[in-house]
Amino acid sequence: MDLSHTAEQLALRESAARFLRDRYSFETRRRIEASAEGFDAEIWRAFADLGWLALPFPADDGGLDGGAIDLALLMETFGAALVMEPYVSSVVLCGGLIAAAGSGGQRAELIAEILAGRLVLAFAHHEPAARHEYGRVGTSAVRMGNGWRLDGQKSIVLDAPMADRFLVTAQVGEDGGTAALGLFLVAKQAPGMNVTEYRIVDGRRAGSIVLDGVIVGAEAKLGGGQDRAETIAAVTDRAVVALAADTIGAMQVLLDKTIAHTKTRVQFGQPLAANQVLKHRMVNMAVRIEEARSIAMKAAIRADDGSGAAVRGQAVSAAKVKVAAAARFVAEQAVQLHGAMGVTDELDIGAYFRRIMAFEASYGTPAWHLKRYAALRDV
Amino acid sequence: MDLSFSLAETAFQTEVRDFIAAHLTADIKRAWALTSAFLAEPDVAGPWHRALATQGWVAPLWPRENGGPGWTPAQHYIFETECALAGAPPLAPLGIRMVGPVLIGFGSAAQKAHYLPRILSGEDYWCQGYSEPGAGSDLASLSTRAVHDGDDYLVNGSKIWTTHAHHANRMFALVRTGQGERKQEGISFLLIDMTAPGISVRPIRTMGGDHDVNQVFFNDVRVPVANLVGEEGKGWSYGKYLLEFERGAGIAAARMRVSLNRLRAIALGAAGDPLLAARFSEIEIDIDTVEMTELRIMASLQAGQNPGPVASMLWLRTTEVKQAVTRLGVDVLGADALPSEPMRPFHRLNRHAVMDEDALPVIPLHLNGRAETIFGGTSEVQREIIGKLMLGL
Ligand SMILES: Cc1cc2nc3c(=O)[nH]c(=O)nc-3n(C[C@H](O)[C@H](O)[C@H](O)COP(=O)(O)OP(=O)(O)OC[C@H]3O[C@@H](n4cnc5c(N)ncnc54)[C@H](O)[C@@H]3O)c2cc1C
Repeated sequence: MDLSHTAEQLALRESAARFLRDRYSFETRRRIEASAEGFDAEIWRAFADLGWLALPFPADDGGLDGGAIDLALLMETFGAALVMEPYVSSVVLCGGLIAAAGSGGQRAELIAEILAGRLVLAFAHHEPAARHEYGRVGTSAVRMGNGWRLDGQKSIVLDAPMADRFLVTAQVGEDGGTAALGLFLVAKQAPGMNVTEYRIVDGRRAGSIVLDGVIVGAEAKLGGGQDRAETIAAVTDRAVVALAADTIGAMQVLLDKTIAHTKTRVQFGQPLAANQVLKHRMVNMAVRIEEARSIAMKAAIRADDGSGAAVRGQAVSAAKVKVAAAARFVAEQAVQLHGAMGVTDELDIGAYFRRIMAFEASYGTPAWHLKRYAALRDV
Repeated sequence: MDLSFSLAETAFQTEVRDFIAAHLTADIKRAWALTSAFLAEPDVAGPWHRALATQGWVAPLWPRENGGPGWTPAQHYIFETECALAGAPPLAPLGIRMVGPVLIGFGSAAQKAHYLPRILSGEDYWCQGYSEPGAGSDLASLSTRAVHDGDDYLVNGSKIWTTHAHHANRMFALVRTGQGERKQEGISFLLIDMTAPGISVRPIRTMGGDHDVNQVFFNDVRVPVANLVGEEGKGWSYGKYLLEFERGAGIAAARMRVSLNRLRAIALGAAGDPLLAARFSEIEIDIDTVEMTELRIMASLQAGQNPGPVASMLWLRTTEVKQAVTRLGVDVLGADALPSEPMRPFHRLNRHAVMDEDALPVIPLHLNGRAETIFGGTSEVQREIIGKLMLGL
């Protein structure tokens, strides 16, 4: 057993943290959030130049062969800096799905573009009717001549506004056979695509899509004829691992800032931190963060070690549940210990709080993961 | 023991219901249901305030000679509960529940004659200038100064977190007029005209996206000495008296129940999910408990007794249960908790919203609700007080 990071991994974290410290201050981030695009193309190019967009791809596809642990280290720095850019959507999810399920031609065509930062993709999976059941897909794909006709609705497609194309999940009705989950590449501008864009709670952007008789060619379908449900589960699990790390980065900043604040703000003639009740509260925050690190580490290892879908799924769902609960506690206490200034939009405390809310609600709520954990236990 | 209201009280309940049915418009109800801020905006609560004013029902706790309705504690409880259940916006407490009682207790005859009727009619809108950047929980360390200059005080300094300062034409403030041995000495209670030269108001947005609070700056602001309440240097005791009213409102269960039922409506079928159903029940039991505690306090007031420590404990629990309700809203929405609408106020949005109308305020209410355990004295400071004064710790 070896649970230590390699020197290269630590160097990656260090250089990412340094870059973001220099180039992605809270003021920069605030400016990006307020901009119409909600996205900084120059920063995105810099991510490409630094090799971050190539990190999780196989070397055969031009990537750096990074695993879930590498991804988690990078994402932890993203969470600490509240990065707005569509890394998880485009690189981890869509890129990961193309790498896992795409044909040789699709991989050659698309991955080079993704890792150069020229193509941004968003994952159109969740549906309004699914509500609390993450991943229940009603959108249909029906054969039309050589290609496919797509009908259905998608909601809360993260990063939809900056995406050039979507990776859409749909139930494929193959000539009367049993339904299978398929993945289709659809251009935003394709006829029949109606995209409504909006902000989400942490300031990032998303969209809802109505697919109304969208016709795509045969080449739009990712890979051959099989059911992609397990590939989708494996890749979304990897996204949850990435976002758990992002959340841990955010939590650590909240604790650091709370400690700094309570050591400097004086009330009743002494620093707030001199009050035992606040000391213990901050110790509890630290304990929860350490627990979150443990379970997130397990999920990152299981995401890659080939121990099977059930073992992986359980570890990832456990991480989602535990990290979300820890993050909630840490965020609420960070606000509480900052007093009134904690509930304003002026400090970044509120921005971290909202980031943590977004983690909780995306890619399966903690309640959904709790049920999945129980269901996988019996597998 | 008996949990039912008397015949006379039930008749009063009917009278209140009839009044509400006749005067509370659908527009006001909708605007309040869509409010994500702490207080209803003046244009939402104002029409309801004026309707209550014609009936003499604005200030339930004021003595009859000052314009109060002369109700028993039971009538007060019934009135607040019926208003809440009907979806009426709560009236801003700043005049009615905060400065009003101080003026009644310590104001001069001239101050009472001038200000009290204007609070009842809604002509004056008050804000509370206590907290400062350097003086939050430790309020007595406040440093905004008022020095004598002829018939005026000259006020300099800054107040912060001032709720609705951007709507108010009056502020009641604690200012430093002298230095005593203890920092509580030398604090005075002043009534300040918000339109006076030298006052500026800076908006502060909450993390829920609302504009409730402000920072207020005073630059050589002239305040007539006649606007001093009670004695100079005794302001701390008046201010503390007021805080008891702020915390002692004590009728919140009905409003929490309404919030919970709204969430049930939003949850639709999902409320049948066993995990979510258990959460709903847990919180509903919390509300039942808060309600029973409220009734215990009401009954002891009715019997002419002092309810004692349980009132402070009730405030503490009420703020926590309110937070649990808004937290449940996040879980009810699930993935739909993500979309966010930055524009305010929700009831005036005239374009297609990103989500169903009744879901609009759910997340901002949750975010803003984190302040429940901060304003009016933080939970930690409340526990310190309860421990010291009630448990002898
Ligand atoms: C939405 C909102 C509206 C408000 N409206 C008004 C208004 O209209 N007028 C007005 O004057 N003020 C208003 N306030 C201010 C409010 O009264 C203060 O926020 C409150 O008194 C706490 O002060 P603070 O924010 O400076 O926190 P601090 O006093 O800095 O406290 C920070 C943290 O330290 C803890 N702490 C402090 N002292 C102790 C101790 N001795 N032991 C243990 N823990 C301690 C606190 O509990 C808190 O968690 C409002 C606040 C909010 C959030």
